[in-house]
Amino acid sequence: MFNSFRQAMAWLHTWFGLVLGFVLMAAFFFGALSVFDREIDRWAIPATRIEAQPMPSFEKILRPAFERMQPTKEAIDAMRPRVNGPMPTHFDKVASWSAYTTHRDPVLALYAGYQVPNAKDPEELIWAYTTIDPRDGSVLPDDHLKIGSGFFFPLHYGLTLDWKNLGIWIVGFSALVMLTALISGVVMHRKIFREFFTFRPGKARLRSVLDLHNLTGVVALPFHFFFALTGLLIFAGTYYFPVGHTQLHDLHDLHERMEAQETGLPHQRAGVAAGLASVDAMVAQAQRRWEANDKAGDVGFLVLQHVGDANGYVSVYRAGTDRIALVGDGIHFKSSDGKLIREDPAATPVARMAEFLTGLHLQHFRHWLLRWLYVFGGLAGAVCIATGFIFFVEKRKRQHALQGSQGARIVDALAVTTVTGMVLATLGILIANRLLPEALPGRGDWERHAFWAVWALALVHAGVRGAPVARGLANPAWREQTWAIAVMAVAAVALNWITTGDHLLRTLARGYWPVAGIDLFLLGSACVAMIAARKLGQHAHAKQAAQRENAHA
Amino acid sequence: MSQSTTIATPSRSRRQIVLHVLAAMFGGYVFAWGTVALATCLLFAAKLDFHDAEFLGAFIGLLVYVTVFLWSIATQRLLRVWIVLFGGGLLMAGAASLVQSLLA
Amino acid sequence: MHESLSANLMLAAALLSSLAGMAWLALSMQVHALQVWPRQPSPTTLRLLRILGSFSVCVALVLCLAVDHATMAVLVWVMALSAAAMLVAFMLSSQPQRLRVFAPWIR
Repeated sequence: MFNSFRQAMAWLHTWFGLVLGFVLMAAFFFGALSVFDREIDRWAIPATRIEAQPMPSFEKILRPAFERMQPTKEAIDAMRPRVNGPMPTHFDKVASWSAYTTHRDPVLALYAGYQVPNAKDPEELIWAYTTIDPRDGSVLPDDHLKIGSGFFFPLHYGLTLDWKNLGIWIVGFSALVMLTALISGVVMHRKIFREFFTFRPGKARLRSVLDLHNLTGVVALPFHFFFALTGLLIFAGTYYFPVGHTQLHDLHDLHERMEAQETGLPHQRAGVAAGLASVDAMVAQAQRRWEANDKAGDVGFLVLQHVGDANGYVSVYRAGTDRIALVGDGIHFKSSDGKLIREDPAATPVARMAEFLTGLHLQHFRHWLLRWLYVFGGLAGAVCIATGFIFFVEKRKRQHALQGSQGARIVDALAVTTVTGMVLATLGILIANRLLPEALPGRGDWERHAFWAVWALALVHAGVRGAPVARGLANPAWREQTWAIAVMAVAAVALNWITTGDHLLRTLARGYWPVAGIDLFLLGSACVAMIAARKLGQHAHAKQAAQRENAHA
Repeated sequence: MSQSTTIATPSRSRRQIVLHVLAAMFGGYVFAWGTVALATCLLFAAKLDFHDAEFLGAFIGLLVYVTVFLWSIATQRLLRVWIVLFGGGLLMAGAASLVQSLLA
Repeated sequence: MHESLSANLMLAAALLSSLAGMAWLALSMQVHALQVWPRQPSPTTLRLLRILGSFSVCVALVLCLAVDHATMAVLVWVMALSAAAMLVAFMLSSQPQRLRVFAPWIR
């Protein structure tokens, strides 16, 4: 089909890069924002602007909170098709209670899984979620959208398109394409070492855009490659290649039975009721054991399995604050009497590799420099994709203008939407978050609508203003949306001040970095946007002046 | 930017492109699934912990998917691609089920 | 990671070492040396710059390993090098003479 391998790679890079680039922009940009997801949550939910809290006492705080949890009506309705028979009004066979926290969490998310009587699949579970203040157990209203961890983060791996996990599949495929784009890009770029540091903004537009595309792609190549690969690995077993749950289900069950025997951690309920010994005492014992092994640490993950049953057990995991692995060093106790069942042995080499690869992507470690370097990597990736679009359009728009084709105009409008439009949508949801009334029912849904509405508006604007592209000229929407970014970023900071009183001088004086950091980043972005908008304006004026001269000459 | 990296319109029909792309996307997936399933089984049979086998199997499978994807686009031999990817994938998946029946 | 002053100083040193390393590696390339100095430095000078650059990159790794668990230190190092390379590229494109500070003995 192609004359050479390089030509084939060039075709692949161009066309798959173009189509999936729109999805990848979202993955990279919202992935970069997700590095500071819990900080964005705190900006969005002022009631949670407290210090990060450790895992609280089970007896005093967690147990009452768990006991109050029940699945929502929506969850029950969603479960109905998978059940043969009546559904209970109250779920009381608890499969598991769990809580997970990191060094950055001011509030605590709780998960409760219940057995579903009469379910078609006997292993079916129905889930309930809640978020509490760990200091007193009070519940956070669940329509306060956690814009960081509850919106931007799921957006980056699944586009919030939950129907049959379609969004997860689309992002997964685009991650695969990202890997092929990186490899094909390296194949195409013959001077990859010679041009490693090359960026020539003074040269013709096509050359300087390509330079920037190559620079942002090559300089952060390990980052781009590993994030795409580890992202795919994280979801491989559950979504993309669920062999263990389907074709190899028998092997999976065999393993579960073997493991339950080896570890002494029962897989099923015994069907005999039993009490719960002091979990706080178990946690304290676990922490003493870690300390004895030179690994003093905080509790990251607490799980109670088969609650209320004689086979129940409690698992305490150490938070991976100081290393890549998310959690580790699990210690398991029998629920009814608090006796130690098992201390997890050191991980196998493969398990350590798995922990390293997933941990480097999910970043629950404590390392502020590395976090900011991750944001740099993510934004570099976004710039790489954006310059890819711009290169595509620049290369073809004069041709298309002569041919009377609308191709370049369409791609350009989509590029504006995906680059500046996406940033505008992000600012839009932050502004809506500050403007909407606190007690508005379904506030979270309104915030999400604001996000999509602003993005849609950006698309319309880019399309309507894009006529010059069909004549081989630039789309003024770039400049206009860049100005809008500058204005809206400043507005978001101002609204934070007006509605919460937490202005920068106050948050900086208090050393409250979660909010100060976001405000500073917003202001920094506004500056960058202003500089960019003015540069674009200068280009436009220069072009206009040149055209008038040509007309006179 | 030199001529040899400009995007040349393929000399044959659009049908060829579609078939190459379909092979890459779907044939690649079938081949990758077969690889994951077989690798997982064989690694488990080699006494690796099941979750470790699953992870390594997925790792190998993903790298294989990327490789065959590139091959499907670059190669001239369309028929061979279709046979190897779909056929090979199904064969590997079959072999995986066979290994499973011996173990479980 | 211990958030002690010494840890932060070592990380700062690692960042500087990465920047110097990338700058020296860039300056060891003819095309960039010509951007920075009026006269082409000799091949020996260029080779020296390359050795200096490679050494500095290794020093950066050692500094990272002194602060954090190996699994994290490697990531910090790789990302620091990426950021440093980007910075050097932007300096070369806007104010190349600024890079003279990395090799003041060259005229």
